[in-house]
Amino acid sequence: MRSENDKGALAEAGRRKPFIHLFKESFGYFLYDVNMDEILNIPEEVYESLKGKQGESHESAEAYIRSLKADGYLKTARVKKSIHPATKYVKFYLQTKLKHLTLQITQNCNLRCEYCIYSGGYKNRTHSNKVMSFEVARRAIDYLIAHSSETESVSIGFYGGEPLLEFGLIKKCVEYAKEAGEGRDIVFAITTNATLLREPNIGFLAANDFKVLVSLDGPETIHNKHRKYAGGAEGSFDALLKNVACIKAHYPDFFKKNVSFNTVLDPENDFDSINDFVNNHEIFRDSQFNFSMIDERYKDERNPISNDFYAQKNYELFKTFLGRIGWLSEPYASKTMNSYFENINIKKGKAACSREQLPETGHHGGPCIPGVLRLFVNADGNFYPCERVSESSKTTCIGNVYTGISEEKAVSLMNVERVTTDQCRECWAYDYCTVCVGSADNMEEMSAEVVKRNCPRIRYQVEEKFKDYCMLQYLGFEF
Amino acid sequence: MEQVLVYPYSKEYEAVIKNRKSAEASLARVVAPRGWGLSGDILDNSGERVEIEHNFEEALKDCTTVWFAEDGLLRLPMELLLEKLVLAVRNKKKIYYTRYKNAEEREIVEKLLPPKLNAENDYERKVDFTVSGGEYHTLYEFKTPIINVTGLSENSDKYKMQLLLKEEFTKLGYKVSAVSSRRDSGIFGMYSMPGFMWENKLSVTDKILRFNHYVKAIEKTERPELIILGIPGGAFPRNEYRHQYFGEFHFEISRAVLCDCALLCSSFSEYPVSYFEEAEQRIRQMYDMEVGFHIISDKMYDCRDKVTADGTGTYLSVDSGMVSDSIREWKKTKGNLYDTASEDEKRRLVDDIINSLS
Repeated sequence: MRSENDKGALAEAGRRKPFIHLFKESFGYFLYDVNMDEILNIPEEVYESLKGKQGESHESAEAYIRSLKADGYLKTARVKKSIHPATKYVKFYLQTKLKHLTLQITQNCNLRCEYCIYSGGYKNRTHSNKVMSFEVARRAIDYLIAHSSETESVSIGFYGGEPLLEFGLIKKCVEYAKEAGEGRDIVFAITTNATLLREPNIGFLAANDFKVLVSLDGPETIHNKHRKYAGGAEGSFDALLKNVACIKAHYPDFFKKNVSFNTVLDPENDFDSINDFVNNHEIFRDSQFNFSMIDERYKDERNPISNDFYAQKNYELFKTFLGRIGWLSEPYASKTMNSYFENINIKKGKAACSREQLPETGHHGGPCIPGVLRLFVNADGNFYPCERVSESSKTTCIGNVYTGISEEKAVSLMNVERVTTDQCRECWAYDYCTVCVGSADNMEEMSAEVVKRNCPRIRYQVEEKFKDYCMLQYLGFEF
Repeated sequence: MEQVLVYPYSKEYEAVIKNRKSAEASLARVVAPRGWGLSGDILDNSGERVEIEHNFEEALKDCTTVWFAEDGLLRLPMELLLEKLVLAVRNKKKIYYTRYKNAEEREIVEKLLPPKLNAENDYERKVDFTVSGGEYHTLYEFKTPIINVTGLSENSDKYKMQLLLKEEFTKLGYKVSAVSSRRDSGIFGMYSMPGFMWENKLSVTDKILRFNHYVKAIEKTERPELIILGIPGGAFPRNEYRHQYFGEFHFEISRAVLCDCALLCSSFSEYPVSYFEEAEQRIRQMYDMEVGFHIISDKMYDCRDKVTADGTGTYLSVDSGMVSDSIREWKKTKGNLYDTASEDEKRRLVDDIINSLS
């Protein structure tokens, strides 16, 4: 068993090594320099040498390495103090920078989707008849107005359960928001299963320029596999299709500009049929889709994975790449892969932010500033960083409509790195980490054990992104 | 004295209200749209409180003039503006309209505004600077000491400093002429930055020449002992998203008028103390301006935001205590930083400017 001294010595030895990550593909060998936040294409012998293997070309490799060091690469620096850079300014962010307010209008839903985080399969509350009171909604809207004076645009999203079960309350909230928000252009949004998306609801949503996000998992069999009515085995696809077709027919401009779809991908399903459906179905082919996998946070068991699913998905990605680099005779665009593709560019938004070295004080890239970019208000009036955290956890509540946001709680949640400081500082994926409170929560506190369970998956995903980025560059794609 | 209602009040007008006692009218009431999240009181420089109100119609009763002020980060919807304008006109209030960003809006307002209620000329300082013939291409020199008020970015308290310097030097008995960085400064006895500086059809050379003639005409007409020149925009692009007009105004004004010294306003950040020397050097190299004085505002750039409609980016207000603490640290190495939250520091700034110009 290693003593604490031994562990400390090992950590220190680790820190003296260049802070890099090596990876290879069939077309080359690569080095990701963490301090410079850059990927370099390197010769094989340099790759082997950095891996600790000395080959015949050892001397030329050493010369190459020396030149890299002369250019500022291969530094050993790590972050020394794990503090989110916005910590000092949280108070001010909370005062003036709130942008998105999400209101959980009701905890009731007319569906019982099996993967829903409120289905009972997650460490979270379950469906109930609880409805947000107008008093709570009004206070939440007032909170948004009062705390967004330095935000250019604000939005209010209606969430559930199924928010259209409380259409009257939504109308009242919109009317109040327009009055209280005099002088602001407030964007209204709703996430809905679309089974209740019919007149007069649609007319109201269109008149108020709502952004409508409809949950649609794919063709009928796939959609109905999980998205069933409460109390029965009947799927919701027919009602959704009928209602959406009606919107498209009677409000074509609204449908085109304002209605989009969210698809939850179950890795047991047939990816190709989902892909074909969203790209080619006459009603949906011109619509925008978001895709996400079934949420695995707050679950003890992971979802089973179908090899076919990933093979099909990767093949679709392959075709997307070919299309983007111009190797297909006809343009090819795949909605299922669009957002992944758009996020491959690791240099996006960083052109003016080149870095020589990691700062001494810093934090990995995962957490937001709770209650600033978005604020989720549940039916009881409690505040959460977003709708994806557990409402039953002792960790995630950051305040309520009566007392506002606790600065202390916000600081605690955004400094999630503190529970795994030593590991994070040695992690090459530091800048690209996506761990936030939702990936660290064991319902009692932020837990190193829960974080560490996510780390291999995150590192895998980041490395895959790096590889895709390098491959596209290798094939001449210009980002 | 005209009783003025300022609408819509925004944070960008905080300096205006704080300095309201220097205005040529009484800035009596301040109304912000209810949805802008602005409430409470503003403490003006004389210690009086001005409440930020939300009921335009109510505030209108006590006023003779409505000042329709320019938008800052938050944009007033045109329907709301026109609603208030019509209400003010119906109540026969004078209108001081100084909104220039939206040309379409301005055109509509000009049609709705009866000429006899238009108060723009009541405050606008004008000077005849027409130069023609052979003299058009002449670049005049200036006998009067000139101090430029520059900013590395917007939201760095540039206008606040222009108002402060004008007030402080006037109190000391100096005759001061000022050309502000904004287009609505007539009410403070300042010349506004002339509209031709934003004119797309004019060449850079024409703007430089005209601005030179403009300031020369002011010097000849007013015979001041000090000229304060505010420069719009930021001195340099901040990054790929925040162009800040690429220092366009800084270039043109620095070519048009050679200043004797410059005051540099910076937004708040955790600068290394070397930042100030580097900024001085860059401004010297690019604009031939000698920065003698540094001011730090209580606004910092919101690093999360990428771009706003006008390319200037959004900001985050911090409290003045945080700024004061930082200035105290920097001053240990760099003496020409001034914390204008303190009366002593204001006096020190003015004394140092006088010494520098003497």
